[in-house]
Amino acid sequence: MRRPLLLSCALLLAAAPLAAQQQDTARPPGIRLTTRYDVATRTAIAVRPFSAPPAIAAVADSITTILQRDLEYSGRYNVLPVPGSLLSGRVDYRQWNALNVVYLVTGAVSATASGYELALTVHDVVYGRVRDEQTLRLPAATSGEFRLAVHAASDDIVRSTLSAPGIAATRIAFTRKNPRSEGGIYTYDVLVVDADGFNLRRIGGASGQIYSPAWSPDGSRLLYAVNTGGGWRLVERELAGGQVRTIDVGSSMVTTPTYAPDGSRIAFAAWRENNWELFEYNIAENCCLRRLTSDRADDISPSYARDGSRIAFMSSRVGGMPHIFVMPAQGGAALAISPYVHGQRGYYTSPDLSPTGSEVAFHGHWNSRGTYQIMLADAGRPGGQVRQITSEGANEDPSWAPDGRHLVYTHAGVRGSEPGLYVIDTATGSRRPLATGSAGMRLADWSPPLLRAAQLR
Amino acid sequence: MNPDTAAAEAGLAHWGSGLRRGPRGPGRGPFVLSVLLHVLVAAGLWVAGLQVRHDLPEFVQYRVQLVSPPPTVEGPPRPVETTAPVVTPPQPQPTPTPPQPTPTPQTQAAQPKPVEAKPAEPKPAQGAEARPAPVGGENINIAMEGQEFPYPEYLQNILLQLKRYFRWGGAANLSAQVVFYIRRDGGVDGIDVIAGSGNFRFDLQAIEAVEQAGRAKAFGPLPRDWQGERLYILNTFEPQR
Repeated sequence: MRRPLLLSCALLLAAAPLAAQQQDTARPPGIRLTTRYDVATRTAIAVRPFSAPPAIAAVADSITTILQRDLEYSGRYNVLPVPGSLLSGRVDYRQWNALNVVYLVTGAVSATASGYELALTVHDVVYGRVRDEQTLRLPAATSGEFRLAVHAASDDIVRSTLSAPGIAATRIAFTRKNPRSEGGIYTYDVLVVDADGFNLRRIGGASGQIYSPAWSPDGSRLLYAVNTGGGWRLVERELAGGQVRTIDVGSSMVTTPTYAPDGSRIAFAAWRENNWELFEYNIAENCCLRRLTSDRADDISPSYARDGSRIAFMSSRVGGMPHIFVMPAQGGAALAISPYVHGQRGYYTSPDLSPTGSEVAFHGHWNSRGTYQIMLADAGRPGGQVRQITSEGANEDPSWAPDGRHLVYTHAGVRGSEPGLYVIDTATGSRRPLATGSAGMRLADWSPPLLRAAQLR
Repeated sequence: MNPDTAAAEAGLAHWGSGLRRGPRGPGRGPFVLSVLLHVLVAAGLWVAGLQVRHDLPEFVQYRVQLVSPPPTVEGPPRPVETTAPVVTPPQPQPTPTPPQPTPTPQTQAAQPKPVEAKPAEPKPAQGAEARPAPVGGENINIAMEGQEFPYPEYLQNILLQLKRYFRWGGAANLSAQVVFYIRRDGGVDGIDVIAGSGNFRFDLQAIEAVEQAGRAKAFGPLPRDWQGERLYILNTFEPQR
């Protein structure tokens, strides 16, 4: 009885491939495809003009336009125009789907005692369902915070549709050297502008130089270095009340301050023993000055990693030329990040560590004949590849947006483009002007998110 | 020595000697049966495996050129809107500002008025029966080398729809291969993950994308001249952020 059983097994094993082979010859081949979703993918979205009573129709129009622009500036969407037949009425997913729209934003604005109420709905057109629905309270259109509230709504759309951080509800602080001097002394201003280029305003100034404004991690304060003739000092300004205080760190020559991610400490460069060294100071308790570097070269422009564990900075310790280094936040062995080629006088400075990853943005040139360009390197891979992301004109002083994708920088102007501040999307290379018209606008710093939709519910 | 331990050791010695002797162990019958059963199970699994694999045809990579128009804010810097912010004139200060131990009132420069540009002019109505708009605007630029496929538009639409239906906001650098076939009527069947990403939610999302696209018949019916009742697709989902 055993032999027939074994034989049947063997026959079965031999027959299977034969049968499969015969099946194969009668069938057309299949198709091999790959759908890759890279960072440059733009999801199709439409924002239908928000409905409102006639008395506030202009406000509703304004909100719609701000939202559309924010979504476009995020670099993540293709904002499609809305056909006339779909401007109002019940949302018919089939019609929107026929236009290849993936997400649709609809809304209704109504007036309240203190401003407006925005009932916002995000539709997933492809799946034919509501993805997110919420009602937000907006301040009056005359309020300085009206636009910021709409920006927060935009950021929430980015979050709910793509699980990505938005950057609309942020601002950029920078300095401006004014073109006319007073008795040989130039005045400087500190200015702030919304991330979409609106709401530009001056928040302070001095008859002397102002350098390196830096946002506190909670977005409530700015820290910068001021030189009005008697040396450099650090000034911290409360943005809401306008209070200003000088941070006394025991030195009359301090510059390039920055906050640690938890806001309790600051790092900066101070002049000691005939060169610039990096220091840390506990700003929360006004104490505990600590030296982070100690060498014969200049060390300036510290920038904390998002977890506060490392600091990127500029140092001239290699051949006397500025290079970008990364070291532990408490000081110690530093590793070079910018490219060093023997014989080439590369120049690299103004590092800014990404708030979302380990990329360092900085500006520099590869050799002494070049113009300054914005470059990116991975702080986690010293000696790794460096990516140059600008090429026209001179471009300097990059600062990351909180999404770790966009950068603001100073553009010196070139044929066809005005000098000023520009924003570049490092994923796609597309860029836009932020504030232009003056070559004196420099040293921009991008704020953290300043308002979230949850605060408006 | 504990009497129980001694007994256990003695028992072991007993069984040991018994096993060594041979005649006291189990007979050959159960052993052969066990081998046979294993062979049968292995053969069954092999045949089943063959059926799964050979149920699928050979997969061929066809040439795809899917190019969308450039994004609207691409290119050299240019003013984005007519109401672009203008730098306010400098605010001269009467005297050099000494270090400021006390709060000082702030001067507000004139602000550009936030006048919004009007929404884009609405385009002519398209209606419920409108044909899908031409592919593009989503930065979907795909160039895959391979053989010429007789129905390139059909292939492009599959890619577009898979992109539209797939939703993933989690970790990047995952990859899953999903196989399925499109029936003649445009419906989808035979969905299976043949190479998982290692992330259960990601794989599930990939299946969901194919399933939902099939349910909506988003791929459309097979081309009329297509020989065969099914078109097998092997798609690799690869989000990169």
